[in-house]
This record gives sequence, structure tokens and C-alpha cells, in this order.
Amino acid sequence: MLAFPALAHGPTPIKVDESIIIAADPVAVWAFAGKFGSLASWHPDVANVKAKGGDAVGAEREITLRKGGSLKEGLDEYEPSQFKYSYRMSDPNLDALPISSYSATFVIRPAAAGGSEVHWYGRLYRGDTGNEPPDDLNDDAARTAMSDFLQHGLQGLKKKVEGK
Amino acid sequence: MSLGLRGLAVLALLSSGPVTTSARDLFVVCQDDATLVRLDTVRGVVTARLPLPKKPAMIASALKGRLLFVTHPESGRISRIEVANPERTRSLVVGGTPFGVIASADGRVLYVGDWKANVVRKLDADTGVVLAEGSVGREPTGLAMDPEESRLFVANRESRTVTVIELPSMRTKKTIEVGDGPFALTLDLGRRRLYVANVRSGDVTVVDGAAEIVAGTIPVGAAPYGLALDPKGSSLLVTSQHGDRVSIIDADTLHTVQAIGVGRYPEALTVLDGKAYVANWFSGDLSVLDINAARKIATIKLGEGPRSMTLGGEDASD
Repeated sequence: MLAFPALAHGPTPIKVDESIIIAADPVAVWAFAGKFGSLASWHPDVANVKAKGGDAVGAEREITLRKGGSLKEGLDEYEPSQFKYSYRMSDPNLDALPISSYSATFVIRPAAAGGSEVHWYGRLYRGDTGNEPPDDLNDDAARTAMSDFLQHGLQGLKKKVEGK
Repeated sequence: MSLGLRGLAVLALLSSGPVTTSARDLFVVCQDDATLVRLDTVRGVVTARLPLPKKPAMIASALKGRLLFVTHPESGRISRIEVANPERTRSLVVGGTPFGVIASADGRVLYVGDWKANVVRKLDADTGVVLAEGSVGREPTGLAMDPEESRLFVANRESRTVTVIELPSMRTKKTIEVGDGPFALTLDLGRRRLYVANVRSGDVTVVDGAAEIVAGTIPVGAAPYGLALDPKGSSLLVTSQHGDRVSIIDADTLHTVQAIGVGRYPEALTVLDGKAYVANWFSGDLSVLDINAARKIATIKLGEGPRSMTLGGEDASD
């Protein structure tokens, strides 16, 4: 058996797409969440973040989860005028997330009825990229884990910003 | 394996009446709803949705667009589709994890990368039987072949390389170091070049096609996933999946001259008659761009997870 390539993933990507309405304008929400290294101050599942490189493309953050385990991510695109940034996983950690590779985008838009719509969405590949993955490393496990992580974050952000 | 032949009869055009195709049809593989969408580019409308076996990925055409092949990496199959007779579609059982595919012009031979086995196989395009195998790097993705069908270029996503395979011997001729995460390839016959889009390093490697050495690197940014050259102009177009944009590069100067916003997470694209057709993986639609005017002129709904595309129909290449 060959060593598992560090960044390998399978050929079928999975879509995740989470959003939330927050009663504050995009500038205010961006002030809370727009910094690439800010995650620990509003995401309830995140214990701390070690960030380097600020908000420049190529910046890195290492997220330590409250449940244990860490995720390393790199910043791919940063557009503060659009309240948007995109990033990708640097190294997989199947103990932290059953996902072999992911990339994601965080964006805030003005909501139609006032306030903000925050969208957090991405593309990912299951933990076991073979054609017969076990249940804990299949497409559903990957989709659920990432959807939960994004949705928990959005709910935490809403609470922080709305002061509830 | 009785599985192989099951499902081949289910493929049919959802639209009724005789099948008419034109040189201006674009076929787009939608991975998540397992359909092949046919778009009439002249009218800008979807004219058919052909059901495929599950999780189709990449597409190739032969016989000037009259014959199409679609890989199914998760089930080890390839769909062989006669554009004028989709009811005759057959499912070839090839095994492994077939991903990138390219066909000989006469439609008799397929070259298919196996994502997990680090090889490219030469297959009988009628039966799927393996004729020969060539060794490549880790996770072969995009393929390109010269018009003489004497060389095959293979992007190796996890090895940061492109392998040059000599045909018909299938011998590995050369391995060229490129950027990080090479995925899409396209040939520039006029300038005798190969362009390689590197998803992770966010750039395009320019390879001198004659010397088979790197001649330059063009920064693009934000996960470049798809490449297309305007055959009648000097524009190289690159999708940036994380930038939701298409960059237009002047192939003579190798400088980026424009960027056009498209849908979410654009991936494959094709150029025809001064327009670019861009499949947006996340938003499930197609952005139509006017290249000279550098603007988006239409958005057309496709389906879930569009990943690859090719021109098809009668005499598509004329």
C-alpha cells in the first residue's frame, strides 16, 4: 500500500451552502468577521486561531477546535469592498473533519429587507477518496460535518453581532 | 459484471421529435444531477437533457463532434454517446477510477487517466478493452493531444508535473515540472505551446511545445480551474474558481488584460465565435461572455454541478 498523498482527494466534489440573516448592516458584520484570523472571536466551535500574514492572499490560519483537533487553511482571495474572502484547506486532518480537501467562501450581502445576508459556502471532497468509503468517511459524513461547522459559525456570529 | 450494460437503455432525449444537432451545440456534463445538457449556442437555449449513469465527470468528443465519451470515475465506467442517436448510448465498463479523457479523431481509441492508479490507459473506444498503459504522476487530471496524435500531455495534480507520453508507443517521454495542483491543459497550435492551469499555486504555466520546457508563468490567482484559447484571436481565457471571474490573457504578451465576473465557482469553459461559455460549478449555470467587449452577455440555467464541456453535433469543428 502506498502512502496516502497529503493533499489527495476524489474526483467528485460536494457542495455545501449555508446562510443566515443578521440584523446589522454589512459594514458592521464585516467589522466582526471580516478579518481572516478573527474566527475564534465569534465561532462557537473554535477554541483559538493562530494566524499569520494578516488578510493578504497567501495568509494562513491554524484553527484549534473546541472538540480537539486543528485545521490549517490558506487565504486565496480577499475582497473587502465586496465583504468577501475565499480560502482553502492546507493539510487534511481526518480526526478534526472527515474531509480530504475543501475550499470555502465567506461573503456578506445587504439583505432585501435591511440588515445582512451572510453566506458561507464551499466545495469539498469526502475523507476516503476511494470508491467504497466507510460510512464515517463518505460523502454524507463530509457534507454533514462541514455544513454543521459553517452553520454553527453563522449562528455564533449572529448572536455576537445582535448582542443576544 | 452485469452492471455494465444496465442503464444504457434509459438514456433518451427528454424532448420529443427527431434529433437534430448542429455544429453550434455545446454539451455540458452536470455531475450532481447526472445529466448531459445540450445547448444550442446560436439561440442560447438548452435543447435537451440526457440522463447519464451517476456521477459523470469529464467529456471528450470524436468524429468531429458526432461521438462523445463521458467518464464515471466512481463506478469505473465510460458512457459512449452517439450524438445523433442517443438511444444507442452504451456504458463501457473499464474499471478503476477513469477521470480525464481524450479521443482519437476517428473515435476508435480513448486515452483515459486513472485518478487513483497513476496511469493513462489506451482503450478500444468501442469496447473499453485496455490496449496499452502508460505511467504518469499522481492523480492524472487534464489531458491534451496534438493533432498528429503523436504526443499526449497529462496534468498530474498531486505531482506538480505534466507527463509527455509518446504515441502510439505509450512510452513516457518526459516529465515537466509545473505549478502546484495542475488540472486543466490546453494546446496553442499557432504558438506551439501548452498552457497548464495550476489550481493551488494560482498561475498558468506556459510550456514550449517543441522543446517541452517551461517558457513562462502567468499569475492569475484564486484557483484557476479551466482554460480555453480563442482559436480566432489571441486571447487565452482562464476561470478562477475562487474569484468568480474569467481572466483574459493576451497570448502574445502573456499579460492579463481583462477580468470578467461570472457565476459562483466557475470551472470549465469553451470559446466559439468570439464568445466564451463558462460553466459555474456552484451556481449551476452558464455565463456567456463577449470576449472583445469583455463583458457577460447572458446567464443560462444548466443543472447541478456542471464540470466539463465540449462542442458537438454534426461537423462541430468545421
